[in-house]
Amino acid sequence: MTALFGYRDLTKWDFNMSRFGGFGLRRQQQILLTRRPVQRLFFLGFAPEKFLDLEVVTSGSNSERGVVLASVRCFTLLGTELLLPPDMAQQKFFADTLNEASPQRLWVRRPKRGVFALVSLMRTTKGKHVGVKGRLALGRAKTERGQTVDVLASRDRLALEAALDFARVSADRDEGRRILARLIYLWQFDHHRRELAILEDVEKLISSPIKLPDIRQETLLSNKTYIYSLPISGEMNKNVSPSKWLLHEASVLARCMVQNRQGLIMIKGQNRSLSMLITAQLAAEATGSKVDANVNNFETDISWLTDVEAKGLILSVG
Amino acid sequence: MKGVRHLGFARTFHEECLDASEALATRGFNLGEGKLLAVHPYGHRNPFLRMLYASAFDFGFAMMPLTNLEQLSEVPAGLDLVVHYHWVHRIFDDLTTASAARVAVGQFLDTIKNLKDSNHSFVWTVHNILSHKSRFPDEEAELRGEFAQLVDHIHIMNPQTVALCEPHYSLDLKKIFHVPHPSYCGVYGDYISKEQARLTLGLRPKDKVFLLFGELSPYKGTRHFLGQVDTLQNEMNGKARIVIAGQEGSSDFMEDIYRLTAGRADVQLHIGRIDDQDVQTFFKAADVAVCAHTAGLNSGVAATALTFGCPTVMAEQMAGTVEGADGYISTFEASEMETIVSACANAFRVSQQPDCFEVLALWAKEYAPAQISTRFFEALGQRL
Repeated sequence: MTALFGYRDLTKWDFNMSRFGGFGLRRQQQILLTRRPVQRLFFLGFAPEKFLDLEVVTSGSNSERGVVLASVRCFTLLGTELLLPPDMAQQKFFADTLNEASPQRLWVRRPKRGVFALVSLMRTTKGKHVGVKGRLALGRAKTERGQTVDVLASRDRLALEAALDFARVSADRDEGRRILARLIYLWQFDHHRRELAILEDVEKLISSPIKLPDIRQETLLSNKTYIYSLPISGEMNKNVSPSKWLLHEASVLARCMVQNRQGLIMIKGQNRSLSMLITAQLAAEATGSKVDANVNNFETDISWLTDVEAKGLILSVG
Repeated sequence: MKGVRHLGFARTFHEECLDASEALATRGFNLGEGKLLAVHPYGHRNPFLRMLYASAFDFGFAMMPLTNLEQLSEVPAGLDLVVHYHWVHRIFDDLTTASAARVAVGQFLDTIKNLKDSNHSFVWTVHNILSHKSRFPDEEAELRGEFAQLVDHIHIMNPQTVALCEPHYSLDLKKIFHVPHPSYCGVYGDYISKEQARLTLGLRPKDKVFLLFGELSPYKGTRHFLGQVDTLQNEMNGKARIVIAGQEGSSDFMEDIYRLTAGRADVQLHIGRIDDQDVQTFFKAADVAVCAHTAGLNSGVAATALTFGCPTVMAEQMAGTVEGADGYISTFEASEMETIVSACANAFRVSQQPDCFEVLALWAKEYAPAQISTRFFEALGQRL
């Protein structure tokens, strides 16, 4: 365990100031945190997002996860507390060794009617010393969407997630995979893992198209039409790997067609989604029936797919 | 929800349904042939549910724990779903007053009625007459009676269930199917010797060991049994050793236990959660397992004891829960606790029969989880 030179212990004065949200009002702080939090009240102004950059260090020989907890509470002008999303209300920081410390960003998103933010800092573990260095002043965020080169090296979750949104919109799976790998490594959240699974599922869809088992029947009549205007098993759930939904929906559709001896699927109505088009083609192939739909007129409702890839997918399935 | 499902990759219930459908199709049960079996409430520590569903896929059922009934709205259309309900009294878990319990009963039954409108079949396994620690017996009896009318099928393990429940609520005979409690064959570690087990617990080879196993709770009859230990010692020529092992109960109950056992060198207490690998130590060391409950329907402890080759003492009304081991269960009259002494003496004599261990080993295989699970799904499949 190395001593954290230059980091001072918190004093009674600090805690007294903290009671009124006045900790660290002047100059840069370089303190050893305790399990008793220190608090600072900020005026939020009008910027939608603000941040605080802090360096967190440990006296241990390796960096550690989640050793500093920053709690954020927001209040209206009259002092009413506002409900914040959990990922903003409590943010955890990594502690680095003294030589490897770099700033980590605490984000404060201004909720509607939010005027003040009370930020408290405390350590979550016992044992090794944990220090925090930084000026306790909120900076105004500049949107840096798409600048993933720097973001990928950071531990700024909001910035990483913004970059992920950008990668998703542009269907850049390589970049998405890199960002998700970083997010999963740092925070181990299930929703990131799930998104990576979806991204991989889309890649598999493109490289090896899915197929339903053959249930061709002579009795299907090409003049009997199934009007496919809405998904039978409900809208495609965005949290599910698309191939699972497509196979299930296509199985249900194929079963309906066999039961009703319908040999033609007609996609009609407002909903002309890619998922329905693929589903119809899968069901048609399995039952030996036909699809009546405009393959050039659809909306891509599967994420991580470019329009060109979506078109290729339709052709490969059909 | 805890357990292995919660580690690693959390899925939505919706996605789990799709995965279950795919798994069933791979097993040859296509859409419309296979069924999802949503189980609620699901206890991860209790192996019973995993045992009961061991053969589910062989019969076209995919078992999925249901965290709450709201999840049923996530089931994708086109999938057949059966809801298997177990410990229905859990709706009272966080309630403190009888009036809140009455409200909860009404809300719960309304929810079930609404769910039945969505064409889900409901199966209920009756584990108890009333829950062991029932705080709202009147409300619980009402709940059970009304719930029994709503469900489509009722699984019982003790053939006397209908008669035993009758004073509190009625069960429709047409809905009932009987499948006994499985043995615990292959469930717990089973590889150490009797000698090693006794050495570990500080018991001598010639001790006559009576084991009371499981969570320490008033309903288990431990206090009543301890009141009979002196008589038992007379019967056993002073060689009886009582081992009480299980998780700590409420503080006032534990005070009673500590007071009753404080001056006794012939009673050993092992208080705390028993690891699955240590279960064998207690049952291998024991000559007889004593289930001293004076009320109840079923006993997993009895099935565990018989699996380890240990004859069991239990109340007359509960004996039916274990099928096929009649000669190895000695019964007592719940209303006359002193009869437990002669039951213990009889069980000890049975334990000394040279073929006792082999006979019970054969019983454990015949009633192994996979076998009982097969019977369960055969019976359920015929009804759905």
